[in-house]
Amino acid sequence: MNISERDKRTLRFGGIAIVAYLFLFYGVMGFKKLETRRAGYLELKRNAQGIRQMMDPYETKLLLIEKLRGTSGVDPSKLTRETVVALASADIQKVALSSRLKVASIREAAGNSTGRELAAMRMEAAGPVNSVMGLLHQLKTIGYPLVIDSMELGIDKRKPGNLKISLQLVILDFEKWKNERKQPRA
Amino acid sequence: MAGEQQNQLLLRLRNNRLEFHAAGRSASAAADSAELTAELREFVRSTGLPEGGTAWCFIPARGVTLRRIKLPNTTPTNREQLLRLQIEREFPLPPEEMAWGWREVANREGEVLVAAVKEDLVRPIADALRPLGLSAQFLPAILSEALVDENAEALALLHIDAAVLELARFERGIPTSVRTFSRNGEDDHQMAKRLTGAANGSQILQCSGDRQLIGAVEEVFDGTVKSTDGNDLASLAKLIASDRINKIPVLRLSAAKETAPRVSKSLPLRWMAIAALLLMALASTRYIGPFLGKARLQRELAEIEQRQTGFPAINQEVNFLQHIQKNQPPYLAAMAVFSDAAPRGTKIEALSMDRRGEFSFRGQLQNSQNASDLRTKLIESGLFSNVVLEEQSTVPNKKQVNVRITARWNTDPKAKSEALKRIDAKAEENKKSTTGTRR
Repeated sequence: MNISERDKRTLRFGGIAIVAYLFLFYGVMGFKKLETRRAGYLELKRNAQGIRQMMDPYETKLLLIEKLRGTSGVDPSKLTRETVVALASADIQKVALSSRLKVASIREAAGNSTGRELAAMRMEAAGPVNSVMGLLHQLKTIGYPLVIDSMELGIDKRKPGNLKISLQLVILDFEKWKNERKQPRA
Repeated sequence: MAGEQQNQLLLRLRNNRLEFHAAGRSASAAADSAELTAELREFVRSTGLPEGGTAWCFIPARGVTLRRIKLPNTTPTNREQLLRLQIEREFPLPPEEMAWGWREVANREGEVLVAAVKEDLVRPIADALRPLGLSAQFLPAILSEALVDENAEALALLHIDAAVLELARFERGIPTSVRTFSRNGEDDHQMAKRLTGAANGSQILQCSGDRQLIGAVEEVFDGTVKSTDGNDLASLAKLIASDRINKIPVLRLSAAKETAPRVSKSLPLRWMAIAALLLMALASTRYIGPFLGKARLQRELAEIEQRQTGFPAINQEVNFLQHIQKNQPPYLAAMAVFSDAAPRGTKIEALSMDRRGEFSFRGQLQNSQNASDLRTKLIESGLFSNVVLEEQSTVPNKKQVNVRITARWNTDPKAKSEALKRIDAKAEENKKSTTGTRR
């Protein structure tokens, strides 16, 4: 079949017009899809950025936890509510004995629940001044959530130069903090 | 001249095929073939012709127009300009849209013969030759063939092809008209009558092609009818080499248009494609993130969410540990400050302090002045406040005094006082001196 130049040109223009139409039709559709996908991606990116910003304080808190654990020696994840009082009592006596203190008495009582206390402990001991000071220092790093509520010092009349010490200790209830957090905020 | 014509490329367009002839060799190709340039190149290479120069192309009479134009005597430059103006007036298309040429008519001063054909009919051939460095010169084949017969005075030439019939008339060897006819369903006799009518006045009618129609023409024509087989490209090559070719105009495309297509057709297409590709690449960068980064971002988010589950526990632990730290009153620091403030000879009978900030001391001092000094020093330390000397009584028969002091002490673990700093510095000094003595 012979096709003249004029017909060829017409066919060429027709072809170009069809291709242009198809390009515009499907191009616009494709462009819209791409834009939707991009918008979704940007939204996701914004969310991720927000979450990352929200996480920054937690990173700081993790460092703080490490530092506090180091200074106090307390690791709440290793403590259990059922055994912490017994273990703390035993360890306090060990520390006192190792500091060359003579433990006269230890009395345990239930703690004040409003003060988030697990138990209260009264300990009386006697020994040289250095030992008393050593005990006071070691109680801070013994590894239990202990707080010295009050302290009384007196002269050991039976042994001149020695001190009598009476300590009121409080063991904090770490479970109370967990429960407190679980309660919904008003 | 003979050597020259051997080294020239001759082309003839017939029935939409382009015949090539050079150096005694011939070939042909479809005129509208996309590979025409490649085939021409191959032919030129096989014949050993050097690239560049002129290619003579014989074209059919269809579309060819002849005009005789009178020009005033003027310089050659002006004549060219005048001729263009005349062509603008005489022809339906401007000179730029045609392949055209002219010759002076012999023995007619100021008269020129102009032949022209629409550019579209010859442009594809010129474009195919250009890459080989050949410039195309077009000649209407029927006019050239008439010149082969040197003795023609008033000649008409008839080409009878399957569908198209071409008729050219000459007077004293100068072409006067070119016409093409279609059969339109007419029989040979009717056709012969129409053709002889157009050739009337010519003494000789030279015919080539369909024998049957030639027979009908012989019957009708009032003059000599010569039947020939037509001239081949080899005989036309001889004609080009002779002077007689100067009797007919050689058609050339506009020089300005010869170079323009290279810029407007081939170059921009390539650059436009490159530009389009670059634009697409540029636009695609906008969507690289959504396609490549989404999966990574989702993974990262899942990791973060997983870690988030442990965050409340972190908060609880921080609060708990901070509570312990804040509720550890500095008992040792307070006792150090008190020891530093207490004068020599102080006896401690009872000393108590609690984390609510209450402090009490009962003991014996050397004299009453020491009691007030102690109080002053405790206040100055910054760690004690509201210091009250509740009781101060002299021990009977002795200089000493019994005292009872109560106060408020600062239970903040971070509390600092000048006295504490001084004690720390003294302790540091003692430590250094002890270390120095040991060494």
